[in-house]
Amino acid sequence: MDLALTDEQVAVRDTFRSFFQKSEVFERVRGAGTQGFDPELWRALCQMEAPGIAVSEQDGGDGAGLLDAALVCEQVGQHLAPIPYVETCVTGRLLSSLGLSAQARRVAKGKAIGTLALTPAVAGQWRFVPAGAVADIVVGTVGADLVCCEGMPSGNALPNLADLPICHRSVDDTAVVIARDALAESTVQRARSEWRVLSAAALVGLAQGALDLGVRYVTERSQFGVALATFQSIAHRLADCHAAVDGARLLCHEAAWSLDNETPDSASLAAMAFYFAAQTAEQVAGASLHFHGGYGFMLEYDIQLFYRRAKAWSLLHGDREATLEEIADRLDYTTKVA
Amino acid sequence: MDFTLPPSAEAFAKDVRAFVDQHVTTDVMRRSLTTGTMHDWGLHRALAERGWLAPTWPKSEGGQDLSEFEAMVLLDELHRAGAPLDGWVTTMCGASAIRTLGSDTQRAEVVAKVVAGEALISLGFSEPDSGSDVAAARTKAVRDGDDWVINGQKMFTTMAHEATWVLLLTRTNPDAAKHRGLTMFLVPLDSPGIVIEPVHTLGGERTNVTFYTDVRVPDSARVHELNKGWEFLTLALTTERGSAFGAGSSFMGTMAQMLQGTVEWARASQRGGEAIIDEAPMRRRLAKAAVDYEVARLLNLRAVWLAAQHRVLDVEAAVAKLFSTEALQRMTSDLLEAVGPEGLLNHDSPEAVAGGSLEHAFRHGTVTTIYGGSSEIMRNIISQRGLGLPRG
Repeated sequence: MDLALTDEQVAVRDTFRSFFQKSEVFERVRGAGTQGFDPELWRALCQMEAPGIAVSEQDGGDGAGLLDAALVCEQVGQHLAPIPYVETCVTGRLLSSLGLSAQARRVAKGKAIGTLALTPAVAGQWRFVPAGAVADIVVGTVGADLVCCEGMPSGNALPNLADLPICHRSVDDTAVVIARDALAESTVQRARSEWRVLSAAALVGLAQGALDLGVRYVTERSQFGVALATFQSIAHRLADCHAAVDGARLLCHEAAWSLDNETPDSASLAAMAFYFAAQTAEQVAGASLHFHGGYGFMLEYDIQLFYRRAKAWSLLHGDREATLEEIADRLDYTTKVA
Repeated sequence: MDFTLPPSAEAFAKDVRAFVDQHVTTDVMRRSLTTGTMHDWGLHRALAERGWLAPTWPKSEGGQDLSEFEAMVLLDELHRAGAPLDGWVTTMCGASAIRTLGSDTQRAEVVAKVVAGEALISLGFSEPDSGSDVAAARTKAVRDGDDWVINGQKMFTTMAHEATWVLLLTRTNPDAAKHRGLTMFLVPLDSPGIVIEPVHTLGGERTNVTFYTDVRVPDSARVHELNKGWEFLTLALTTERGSAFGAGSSFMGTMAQMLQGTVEWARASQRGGEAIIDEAPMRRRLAKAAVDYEVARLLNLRAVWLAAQHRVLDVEAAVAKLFSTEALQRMTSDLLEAVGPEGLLNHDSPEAVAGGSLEHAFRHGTVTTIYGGSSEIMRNIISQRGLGLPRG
């Protein structure tokens, strides 16, 4: 039992935190516009070898675990960085796990952006692919096969709530089957769990960022002659937000740890982490926006950027309630000791 | 990071389960449900014989030198079996603080007796007019020669009818600021002038209101320094929240009982030819409950992990208490709903689901966001000390 990060993990977290702090990311979010991608920020992150952090060393990565990648995702989320980090991480690991070293290396080294289609192809098309507008490598299922495509990304995102670089991708003539049947299924299941945990980490970061903005605003803003923060109706709701973020982060770390260690309940924990982080991000971004009053409704203020992404990052995966079904499937109930 | 319990704690859990099978009998449970006294002397003495009443204390002081994790396992296993432990828990809250701040005589006589399982301590903090605002206590202690004379009344003095002493928060300096005029006394409950009246509660637990009329105690009954009662109380409450005793073990036990009870019942029962466990609303409610349980479990685990390293954890303990008790209430309402009309039956009905534990938890859950620091007090702690917001 040790709930502390290692010194190395603390260093990872702090390095990326200060990187994003220096990068004026909110300006970049606005600058990226409807395409939802900042190539310069992505290049800088690739120079730090971030995409390969959790890819094996023999495939050009750092060989760290999912937990380390989750720490970077938290920072990506907290600063709303418009880069396909979660997708690239998951895809690099998937390619590496199937022994596709050449592709894995390109992804790990930041030479190619990778992504995972979250639903099977219908009529030769994967729909609403996260980072689909910018990904060089798309992995997804076609029937019982797992397929990898390396077609050129269009760069044209479907206009959407949070300016995410989503678009449909065709299973084109570059398609290669990389796993079949049982292997395809287990690979996809594993990748989906990893996608959930890393998305959960980004959502935890987002929630923390939204909470920080809210705390700062209610401390500075005065009404009725006193700071908003002195009203218990406000302070107490922010305390609830803090408790939820705290719990979501612990659950996310537990899920990442359990995938790294392949414990039997890892898929269930990944689903739980995703569900709770998504719920928390929406709760916190909503509360924080509300406490901004009319300013929260103005595009000029940053809190609306959080509010949009809290919903959108989670919705990429479909109805959150459906995740509960998977948790229920794995409800093999002998509760763990508290 | 490593989320597994230390191997020693896993092994210890087996010992505890064997103890539970032997000592937490149907009779023990039935008696506590009938009388509302959440204490059983037989069970309590059996715990004392093992040296488990103060599990983390050194053996030289009657403990077992166990880790915080082992103490957590002990409480968790007992709580999830539904064992009546209120007498033990309130006693240890007082005893731990007396062990730190009391006199040598108090340590030798009171603490030793308590750890041997021979006596209980009841907590006399709240009053009819001061609950969350506990520092507003009006019960007065006035110096008279070598003695003190106490007059007033205390509310929710749970276990006063079973305990040897009441740890009494009194006002000794009415002219000082609210927090600076309080002194703590350890008063024998058989002192002349004390009247104990039962108070029955929604959760079925019996508590008391206690009246003090010209109760005379020597100065040696004073615990800690004169007018330093608030310091003592803060220590007692922080120790309670930040140890295996306070850190949510009873809430986690109740939640575990509810989840397990509902799952077992739903697996074994059918409605309209379909197993209830397969009904969509039941599945979703169980899944939501499982998520809440896991988050609460982790928050409490972290509090114990911090306590094991003797780290300050007032905010983390407040987060754990706030989240787990609110989750407990969500869960009790939600799972009872999922069960349907059968959920109405209480422990007196042989057909009651999970022996009536769901129905009981629905009633009991209401007090958990009130006692030991209400949710509002927890939110004050979190917003002021965690988020750095100013006092309202």
